[in-house]
Amino acid sequence: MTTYQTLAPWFLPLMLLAPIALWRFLSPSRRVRIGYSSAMLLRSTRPSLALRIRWIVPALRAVAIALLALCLARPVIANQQTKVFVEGAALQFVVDRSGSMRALDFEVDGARADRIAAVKMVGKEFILGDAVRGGLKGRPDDLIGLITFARYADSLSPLTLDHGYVIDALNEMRPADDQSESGTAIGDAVALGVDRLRDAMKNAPTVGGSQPIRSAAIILMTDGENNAGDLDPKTAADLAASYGIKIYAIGVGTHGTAPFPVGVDPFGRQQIRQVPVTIDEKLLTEMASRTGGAYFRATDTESLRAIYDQIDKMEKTKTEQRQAMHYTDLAVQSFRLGGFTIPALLGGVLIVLAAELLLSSTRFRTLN
Amino acid sequence: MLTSETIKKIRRIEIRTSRIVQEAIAGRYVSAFKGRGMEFEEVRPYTDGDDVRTIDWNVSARIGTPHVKLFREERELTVLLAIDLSGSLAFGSHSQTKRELVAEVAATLAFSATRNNDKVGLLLFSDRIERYVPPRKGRRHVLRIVRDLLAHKPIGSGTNIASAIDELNRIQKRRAVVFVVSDFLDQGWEQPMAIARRRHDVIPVSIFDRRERELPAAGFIEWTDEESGERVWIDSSSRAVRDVFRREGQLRTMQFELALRRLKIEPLMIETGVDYVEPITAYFRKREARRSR
Repeated sequence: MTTYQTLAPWFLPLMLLAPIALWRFLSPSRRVRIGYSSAMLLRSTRPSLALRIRWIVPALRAVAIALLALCLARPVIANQQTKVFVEGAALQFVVDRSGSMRALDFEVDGARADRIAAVKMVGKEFILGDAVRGGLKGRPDDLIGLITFARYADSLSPLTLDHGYVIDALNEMRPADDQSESGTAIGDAVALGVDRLRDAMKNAPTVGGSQPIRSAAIILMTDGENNAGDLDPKTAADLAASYGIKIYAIGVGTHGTAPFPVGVDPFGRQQIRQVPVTIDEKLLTEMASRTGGAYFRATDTESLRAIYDQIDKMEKTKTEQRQAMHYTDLAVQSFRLGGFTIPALLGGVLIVLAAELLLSSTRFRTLN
Repeated sequence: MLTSETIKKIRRIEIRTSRIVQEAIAGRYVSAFKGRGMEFEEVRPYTDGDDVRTIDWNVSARIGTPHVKLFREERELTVLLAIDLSGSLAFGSHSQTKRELVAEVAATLAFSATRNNDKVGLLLFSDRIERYVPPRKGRRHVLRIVRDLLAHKPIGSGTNIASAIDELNRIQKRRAVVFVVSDFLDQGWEQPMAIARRRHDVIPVSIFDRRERELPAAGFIEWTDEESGERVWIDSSSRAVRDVFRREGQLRTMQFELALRRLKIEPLMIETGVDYVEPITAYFRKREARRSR
């Protein structure tokens, strides 16, 4: 919003002094009287053009005075600027990629899909927003990082606002098929996530004395039990709690048994076997409650989506509007008006005064 | 009231003009106005400046040195100074105003006249008759005239030359040499002057200032008419304006001279800020030459 205003309007009445410049012009008694023998002798001469417009000199002076008074009043173009300050959260995805994540108990676009694919799809919707369904708005102001784990925990993406990169990293996630990688190190993975969040909170630039990272959370997705790693998941949860990091734990997998691809038969068909789902719900609930988070169970794509929806609501982004006035001082700054660049008013005063001085000392020189 | 300032002025004018009168004008004045009556006065030895035509050869031959024979006018001359005191004379672009010049010229003429034992009278006028001092002889009388010239504060500010000459015609019945000292920035004086011309020896002394004939380029000037108080702006920076003004000035001078030529009168023109003795002596010389023809 742009408005013209004066910050010191009490100087404006000084503009009334401008007619003083016209005083001498208008009142003959103020001028020096130069006697002459007879006006008759002068009557024959026709007044020249310059003589007829000689009011221009006092007029310029009056304009200069008025402009000076205006400058004193400090005219500004006030630009109200609304700045939205967003305090984002730091969300650390910790995703299980153990072999069991290949279980085909989810659906993507109507087709049967493994858990990894579902996680990828819903995670993407969560981060970028879901334009199709309109449920998720996306998390554009949050720092998001990605850690995957099986036997070992790997950080695929640091906590970043470059969400495209996070999505790429998410897409590259592959289930751990190798025997050497097999296992589920929940504790190690959570501890790595805590470490990353701690770094991010510590290093985050502070704005106005408050940390822009309002809250930090770990979104832990797993489908198994902690069976690897050095650190006990509960200890890791305590660690998270000590830094004020919440853990949203999501157990991924249907109830009972889940179809699991075990290989390809001699005819090229995928062989599927029903495998019991073993999610350590007790542990996950424990971890969530110790950190003030929540535990969810995603049995299919829809429920996973619903869970993200819930987390999205729980981790609200705090936005704040601050209004600032940006002033353009017309006295000293040039400004644009209707497509023209108007020089600073004081510059105008100088130009007018210079013109007045020039005219009054040359063609408009006056003897009295 | 006579202030010490006026007394000083009178003294200054007397000293200055008496020298001028003695050195430059005396002989000229005499020959310009004298010698009409042809009454024998005396025979005396020839001195420098005497007209060789006045040498009496018989006497010179008898005595052995050149002698001149002098004639005296049968009657004394009356000189009347009609002086314009109107507001327009307060103007002067140089070291002196026209009024100051008028005072000096008038004093010079008065002293010249009294040196020749002439009667001197004074008529001060503006748009009315300000003062009339009847012609009389003597140095005291001349000093009084000079005092009046300098000290009189005119009541009127306008100019009416015609009424002044009319008055003069009315009161001065006997023949006189009449000097009308004015700037002649007035009209309708030709007719009364023609009447005065019939009886008197009228000499118009036109006092003018250079700035009444041409203007310097000095920017805008707002003049105030000394008589009417009217204010007139003029753009002296404009060449066209200056040209018109100069042409108007020349035209006015020509008209003035033409009007006087019709009356067979030669004016004496004196400019402010310039030596006035030269024009006076030149004028007298010219008169003398014409008379002796």
